[in-house]
Amino acid sequence: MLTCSEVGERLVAWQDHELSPGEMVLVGEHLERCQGCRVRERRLAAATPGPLPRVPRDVQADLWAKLDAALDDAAGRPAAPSLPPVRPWRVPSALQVAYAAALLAALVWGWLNHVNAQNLQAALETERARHVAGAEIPADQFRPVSFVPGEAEEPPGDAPSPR
Amino acid sequence: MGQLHVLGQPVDGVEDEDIKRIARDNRRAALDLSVRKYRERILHHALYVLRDMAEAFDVTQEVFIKAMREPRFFDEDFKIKAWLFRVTSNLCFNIVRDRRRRSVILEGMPAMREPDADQFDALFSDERQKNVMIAMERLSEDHKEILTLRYYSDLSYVEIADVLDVKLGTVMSRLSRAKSRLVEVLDEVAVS
Repeated sequence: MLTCSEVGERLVAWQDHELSPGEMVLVGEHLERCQGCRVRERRLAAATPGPLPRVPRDVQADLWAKLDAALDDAAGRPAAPSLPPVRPWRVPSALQVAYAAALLAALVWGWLNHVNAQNLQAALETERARHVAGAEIPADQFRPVSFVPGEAEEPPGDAPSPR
Repeated sequence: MGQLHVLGQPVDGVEDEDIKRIARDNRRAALDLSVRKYRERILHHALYVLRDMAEAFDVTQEVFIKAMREPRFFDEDFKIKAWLFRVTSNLCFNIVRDRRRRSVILEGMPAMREPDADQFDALFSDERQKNVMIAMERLSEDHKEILTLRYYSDLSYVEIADVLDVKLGTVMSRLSRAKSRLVEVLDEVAVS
């Protein structure tokens, strides 16, 4: 047996014959016993839309002729270009993974070589600069600095004064 | 307009499965069959939603052009009827939404041409049904749509579930609420 609330939920579907055979019987039996639900069913039935009148046949004939012409025209025209569909993600094959790994390894190796080359270049530049800045003074130009206070230091390159 | 017969029966009685079989050899012939089978129902569905013949015809035309360009249309598991009504509903919804936007933008300006209500009303001779249609205009879009699909376009609950892409139980509860609301609005209309 169904309650009034349960019947109320099913009334529209009962009117539309869309319930299961068993439910159709249960709702029908309840309506025979319950005046309140019968009143509600009648009000719903009175509010049922349709059937509506149709467009006259002669008007339809004109419309279908236009529709056929439009479809013929559309069939002759290419469709507007659309964006390619986004391909869904799929698990890559072992070959694709291996290829990607090899490519990555090559890139890393190239980058490391580039870094090493840069470091080597920098080292060479530093060495060269140090060599220039602290170059060894030729023996004939070497003059040791005097530690005797007051004695002037002879500039390099002058002829040594005999002692 | 004479009734077209295919496979020994009126085109209305041709099953979608038969049309799909024909499509394997001749896609255009199958499309023509689909057009003849569904054009009247699609036109009337658009007309009942939009209340304007010109716009309803434009929607009908666009639906079948889209069908022509839909590569899956004749696939074995493709639901032709549900797809046609779903596309029709979506196109009608876009037009209704655009109308609302235009009316908001143009508020205070001279009124634009309204949908051809006179031409639509001319179809009615039943005063009660005219009142029901007027009452339906006061319902939400969801309620209006489901009532139109069931009572004007004569779709079953299962077909409505396919069109709206919802469960069967949702169709039942939504229809129940929509019809209950329609009763309330009809009472309000009667009082006023």
